[in-house]
Amino acid sequence: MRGSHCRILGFSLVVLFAAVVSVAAASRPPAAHDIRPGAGLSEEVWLSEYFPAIAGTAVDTKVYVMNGSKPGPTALILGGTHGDEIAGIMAAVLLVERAVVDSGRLIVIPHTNNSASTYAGPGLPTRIEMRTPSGLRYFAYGSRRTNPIDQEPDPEAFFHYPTGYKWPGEEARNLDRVHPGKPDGNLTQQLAHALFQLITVEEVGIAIDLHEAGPGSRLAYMIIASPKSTDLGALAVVNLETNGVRMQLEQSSSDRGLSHREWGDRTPADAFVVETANPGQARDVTGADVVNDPANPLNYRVGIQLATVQALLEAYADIRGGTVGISGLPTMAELKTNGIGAYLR
Amino acid sequence: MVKKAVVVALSCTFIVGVFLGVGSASEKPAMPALLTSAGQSTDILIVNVMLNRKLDMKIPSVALAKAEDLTGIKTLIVVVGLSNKGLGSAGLDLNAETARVKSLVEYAKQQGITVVLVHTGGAQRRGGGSDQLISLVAPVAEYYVVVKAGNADKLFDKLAAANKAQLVEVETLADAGPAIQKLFQ
Repeated sequence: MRGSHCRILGFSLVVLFAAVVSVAAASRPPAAHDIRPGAGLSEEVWLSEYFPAIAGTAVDTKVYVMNGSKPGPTALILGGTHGDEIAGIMAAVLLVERAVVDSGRLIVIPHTNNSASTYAGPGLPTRIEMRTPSGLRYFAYGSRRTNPIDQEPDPEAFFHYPTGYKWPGEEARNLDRVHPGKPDGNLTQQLAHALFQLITVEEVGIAIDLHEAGPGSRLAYMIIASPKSTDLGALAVVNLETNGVRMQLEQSSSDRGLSHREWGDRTPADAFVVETANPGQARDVTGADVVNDPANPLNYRVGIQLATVQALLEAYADIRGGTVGISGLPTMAELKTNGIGAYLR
Repeated sequence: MVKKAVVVALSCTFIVGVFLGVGSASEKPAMPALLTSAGQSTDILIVNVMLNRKLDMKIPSVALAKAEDLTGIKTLIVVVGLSNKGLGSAGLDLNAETARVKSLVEYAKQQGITVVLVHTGGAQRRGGGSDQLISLVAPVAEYYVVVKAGNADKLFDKLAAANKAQLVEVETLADAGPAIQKLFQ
């Protein structure tokens, strides 16, 4: 009897604790970031406008919209799908702070998985520092997956919705394994669903997800194109090569849940991933300098990301017709000489 | 008597074969041409963009070309480079791809079609299965167009010398398209 009381009390405490943790998780607000939009900004909204269920949660994030004065297609550029792939994040920040859209429309999300921006992996910084004309600024250096505080526990195995494709359990928190998302799924799936809604509602013509990989990875310095978009990827590779930038090209694999694969298959958008080489993603990150690595400095990686975005937009204009015309961005040479900070506000 | 006839027949076959070989070797690439892949890497997409979109050469691209695609074709351009991912997407393995390429290039030679080997993938498309496919196409190709980064060990120089082929080595990927176009002029 006494034992039974203890068990009931214990169980009640566990339920109470779980409820408190759950409420705490649900109530954790989205992280704020120091992003200072430039003259090109038309509108700033929360991603939750496309799927209200994520409003106020840790995965809600800012969406920056830049309209051109001339008509044209809509391009979506994502940084921070993985919070530790900093070159994509900084390229997206530069787009928000510097780009002027002459035609078409540019939608930029610098911290796509905002929850992943809130914690760093072992041996890696929690933020990077940039000296800018307005003083020192700091940018979050996060992790690959949604913060476990916001979504746990991981299942033993994660089954992709709607295909049932099996991933290891921790991938339930990897945004780039859960596309196109699920409205009543876990928080990361809800985030993916919000992005899918945005792509559909805004009739996105081209979506580019900016990533990084370890310097020894096959993926480093690569464009990955959805199967229907390989001709655009090939044209971008040729145009980049003409300007002295060597990128590899691959077609999306049959693995499910990746942005380029799911958006390419399930929406009219041409979908791509761009990968540069980040020493912070090497197998051994001891002493990794994610900003000033001599072989792959951040200035160079961000330059590659921006050049590749522009090459893909040019290829889209050439093959599909309709231009997202962007000006105001620093060139690779300017970034190399002056650094990213010189072009931040 | 039968033995003598066999010897004569074999000699004739050899002489005809030599003449065919010499004839093919001296043939410049001509239109119509067909672009195909050996190894199913995305390099064929890049060469296709260069030849057709940039240079307007109007060369059809059939990544998994078979003998029947060669009807009326005078030049076969084979972009060599193995991608396991590409093979997987095409539902093939290396053995099946090797068999397809072998059958295709052998048929091309029988038909007197000029073969151009193109290698643009650099070091990433060398070694292992890529070299296996290179060794399959090189003996029947009259021309090799190769981006320098994929020829660091001078493999293509050696193969060109051994097979009496003309080697065009270019510095960058962007140079490969114009180099192929020049072969047709």
